[in-house]
Amino acid sequence: MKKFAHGIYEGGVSAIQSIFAHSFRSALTTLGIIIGVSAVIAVVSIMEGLGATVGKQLQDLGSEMVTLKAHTSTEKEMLGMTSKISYEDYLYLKNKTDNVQYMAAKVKAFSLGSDIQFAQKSITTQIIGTESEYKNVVNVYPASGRFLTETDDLKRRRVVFLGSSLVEKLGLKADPVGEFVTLYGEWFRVIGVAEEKGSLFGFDQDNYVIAPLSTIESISGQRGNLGVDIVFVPDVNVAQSAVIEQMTQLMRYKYKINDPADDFFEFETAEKTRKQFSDITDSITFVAAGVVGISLLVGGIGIMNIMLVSVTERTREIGIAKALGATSTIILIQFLVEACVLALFGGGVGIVVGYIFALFILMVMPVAAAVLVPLWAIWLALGFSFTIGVVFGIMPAIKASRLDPIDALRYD
Amino acid sequence: MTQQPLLELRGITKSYSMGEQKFLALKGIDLTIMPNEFIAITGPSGSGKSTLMNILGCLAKADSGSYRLAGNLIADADEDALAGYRNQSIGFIFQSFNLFPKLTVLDNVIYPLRFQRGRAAHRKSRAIKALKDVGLADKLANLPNQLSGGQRQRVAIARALVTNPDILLGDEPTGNLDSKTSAEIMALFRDLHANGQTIILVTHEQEIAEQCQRELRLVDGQIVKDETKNTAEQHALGVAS
Repeated sequence: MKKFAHGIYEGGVSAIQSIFAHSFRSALTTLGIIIGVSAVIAVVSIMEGLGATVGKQLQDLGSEMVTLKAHTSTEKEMLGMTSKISYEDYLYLKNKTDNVQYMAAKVKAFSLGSDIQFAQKSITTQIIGTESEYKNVVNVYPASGRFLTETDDLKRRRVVFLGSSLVEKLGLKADPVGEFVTLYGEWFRVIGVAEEKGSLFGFDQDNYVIAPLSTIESISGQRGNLGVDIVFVPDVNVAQSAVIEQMTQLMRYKYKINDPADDFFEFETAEKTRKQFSDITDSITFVAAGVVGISLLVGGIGIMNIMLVSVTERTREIGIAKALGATSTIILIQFLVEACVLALFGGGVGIVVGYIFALFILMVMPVAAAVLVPLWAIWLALGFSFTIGVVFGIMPAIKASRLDPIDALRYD
Repeated sequence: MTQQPLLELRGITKSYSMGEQKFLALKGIDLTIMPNEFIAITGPSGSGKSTLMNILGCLAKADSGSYRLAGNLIADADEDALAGYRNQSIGFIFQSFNLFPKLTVLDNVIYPLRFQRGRAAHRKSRAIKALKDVGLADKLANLPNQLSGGQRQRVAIARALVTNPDILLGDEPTGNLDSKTSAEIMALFRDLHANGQTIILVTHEQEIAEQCQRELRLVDGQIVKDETKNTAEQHALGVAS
């Protein structure tokens, strides 16, 4: 065992000497591994960074928030039908459920267009018609002015609450409360501006306009006919799933649905969104891992190729080493260690290059707040590189160790 | 004086198969070498002198016969044991020097010590001493290609000597050197011999063989001449050159 350790040490010293003796070739050899590892590190670190950012933002959004929205089955969609949850359903649920802390209906008025104008400027935005309680459901707070009140809704006031980025986009003054903007050709008075939320996946989350639901409905001319989404937060001591179950039963009862497959509505929770998101990132990571697997294989073959060339080239050197007392085991270890050091070197450089690459991507496309290289990815990359070194280095190493010293010494 | 022989060969045979034909390179060699002998093995090419040197140097094993080196039976040794004998008992010197081109002079000389136990500092001091002995103490950090042929062969001799081997085994050690350098290297061998080193040189140059104490001439795999010169003659030759 001591002899073996000595062999590894001496093999390692020889290996490092010979790697530096051919430094340019060594660098080229490891290029395959560098590319493979840097690709995996870049993808993983961006995905992890994205995950952390999204997780935090979902938290901010209120992890307890549930959205009930209409769901159209593919079958119905093909028949040209669209499901819809009405304002009346909202009132019905609000009446029948008592385990809900906050609840609001909102309408996204796509059909009416989604432009907001001020002076000569027109900006495409997201127009949300809702009620005063909405602010409690989604945690949106005014940075200046105020949010909608019940009176705004009752009186169908033409007032808007702006997302923070619109102030600049429209060229409004810093505190635009009291200014007038145009929606659907009508004047609306700005009553407040929201606190900034930042961007998610590179999408501006502060580009929205909130107006009273009743006002939007009356402008649309479809009073009572517009489909709504219902957002709510369950009571603190009540399980989210229990409330969802209760609402499901109420809706099924109201519409006499016996088969759950006929449900024309669905619930979205932060958990579900997070799950959907992690499904996406997982599959991206999976695909990346496949690509990386292939490139590591190519890198490994590159190392094997160079090691075979190197064994042939250094046949005489191996002969001298054997004449001076190197055993076959020492030669084997030397070449194996050399392959592993090359591969590990490639892995190490790959990690750094991948990290820099990820930072660069983030600079060009700010999809996440930060790049995150998890420790497991580093260990995985190094472990993989090492394995590649052993797997692809063993064949040339065996070839070298089996050389006959007399033939090897005679080799030119 | 009853000394144990350093080297004892009895009935050594070795054959090579060349295609269908079997070629008998050594046809039963009997040879006894005492410590502190200075021997030349000569013979025309194909006489088996290289084969004999490979067997003496533990690079190859004989087909039959017994070989005893410093009391050890080589025929019984396995691969790793042979490597051990090559490391500790034999010091090889080659015609083409066979230094590691990417290693410094010092590292080249340290190299065989790496297969032995010992501290790095101790190895280094042994290597430096060996280089001093061959007169190259000022070239430690040089690479082999920065040295002349004679200097390179001196490094190779230092590398062979650093392990304190039982035998220095030279395969045409002056073959790549001009006559002046060649004479210097031979003088170095004589000095080493004078200090008690056993030396065996394989050569086809009669001139070299004549500077040795004993000459073995091989023809067709057999020793045809085994001649020991008297010391006076030897001494005279040494002074002359």
